[in-house]
Amino acid sequence: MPGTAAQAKKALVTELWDDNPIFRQVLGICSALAVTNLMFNTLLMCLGLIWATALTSATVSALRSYIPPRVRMIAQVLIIAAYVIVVDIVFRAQFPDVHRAIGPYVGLIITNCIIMGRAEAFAIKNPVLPSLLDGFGAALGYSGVLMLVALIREPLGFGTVFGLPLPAREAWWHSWTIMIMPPGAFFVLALIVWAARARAMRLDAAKKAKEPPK
Amino acid sequence: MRANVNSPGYVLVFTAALAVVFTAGITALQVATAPRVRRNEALREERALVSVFGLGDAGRMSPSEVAATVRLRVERAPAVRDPATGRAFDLFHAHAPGAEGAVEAVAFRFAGTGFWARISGLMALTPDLAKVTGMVILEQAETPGLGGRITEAEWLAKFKGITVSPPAEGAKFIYIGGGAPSSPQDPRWGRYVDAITGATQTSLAMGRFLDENLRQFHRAMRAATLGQVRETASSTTTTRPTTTTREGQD
Repeated sequence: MPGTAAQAKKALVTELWDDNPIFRQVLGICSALAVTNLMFNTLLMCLGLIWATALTSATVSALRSYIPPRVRMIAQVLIIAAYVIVVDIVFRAQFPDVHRAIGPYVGLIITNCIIMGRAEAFAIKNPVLPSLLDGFGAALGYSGVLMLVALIREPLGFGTVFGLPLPAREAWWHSWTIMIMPPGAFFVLALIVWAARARAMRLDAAKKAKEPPK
Repeated sequence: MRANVNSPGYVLVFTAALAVVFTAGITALQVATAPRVRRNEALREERALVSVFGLGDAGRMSPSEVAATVRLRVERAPAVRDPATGRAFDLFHAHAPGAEGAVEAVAFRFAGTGFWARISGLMALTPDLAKVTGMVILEQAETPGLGGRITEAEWLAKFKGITVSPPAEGAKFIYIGGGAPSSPQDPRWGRYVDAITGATQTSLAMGRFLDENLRQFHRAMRAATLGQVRETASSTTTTRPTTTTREGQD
């Protein structure tokens, strides 16, 4: 299969930046709002999502010629649910404190549009490796944005980074409660999407300007 | 090579097989991790007991140290029941080290509704149930950074030493927020804890349900003591059935 490697790389990079699920597709916003007030919780949530998205895409791709088209969405949801419940069980056993804080949202990964979106749009009609990387890239791009949101919310809201207090917290910083609450995520996310899109538009415009006029 | 993927038989078999395979995998993982999950829960309660009785720095101790301390110093006593409401309270005794160590403190599990959701925790009292010696929060879902600060050690430390013996008629067992009392004539004297700034509703809710819990707990303990006395009495003499119950004060 020539071109598979290039195709796989393209799948990864496209999802990671050019078609970033949050910037470009505005998918999966619900969990982006809910879990991003602490970086450690966000990191675990992201790892769970990466695992579920990559493996779902790979599994759907591996089974793509066996899945009856009329029940393909049911099959996809079953596969997604299985991988997400694995995440839930592992968190409960290994990170009980985090599980208490974000447990309900882990289950909600099942309904995260990104996973099924990638399964439907890519994995169902592509080979296993590109599908795995496509899912991995999409989840990684999503995670990057979530971590960025958390990196803004946690220091402003709690005065800590990964739970470590910043010096300013003791000295003069007064924590912004709004950053801990879900509305804080709306503000931060909107600003990030704005910045990312503005940059993308400037790059596009610069590219067009370089091309010779027809 | 491939069966018709759209035939109803194939669809049924495929769906069933997929469900069986994935469910079996998850079930196996669930069963495999069950002991660890149970251990985590036990450890959480043990850590809470160590910290409410002040037996060590629960956050820094290893799981085995926590378990050993609890085994040596803490005993789960039979639950006590409030005769008026029927509510049962989990009861724990902390002993001095040694085989027959005297009871140094008792702790009970309190619970009530906070601003958003249920709050529960342990409160440790002196053996005469007159003063608080420690408090921990086990579950809460208050606003992070505001009501959520009820779990912070600095605030919980303010409960240490306050009086929670049965108060004068019309007064409460405990007061949270509303300004510190200025004279010993104030019924809140010695029973007052500062509210958390920015978390008025959570503080008020805690003041309300802690008062209620303490009232019920004291009644339950009195009923348990009376029950014991009655049992010893009836084993030596034949007593006529008692119909009078003392609950007038509450």
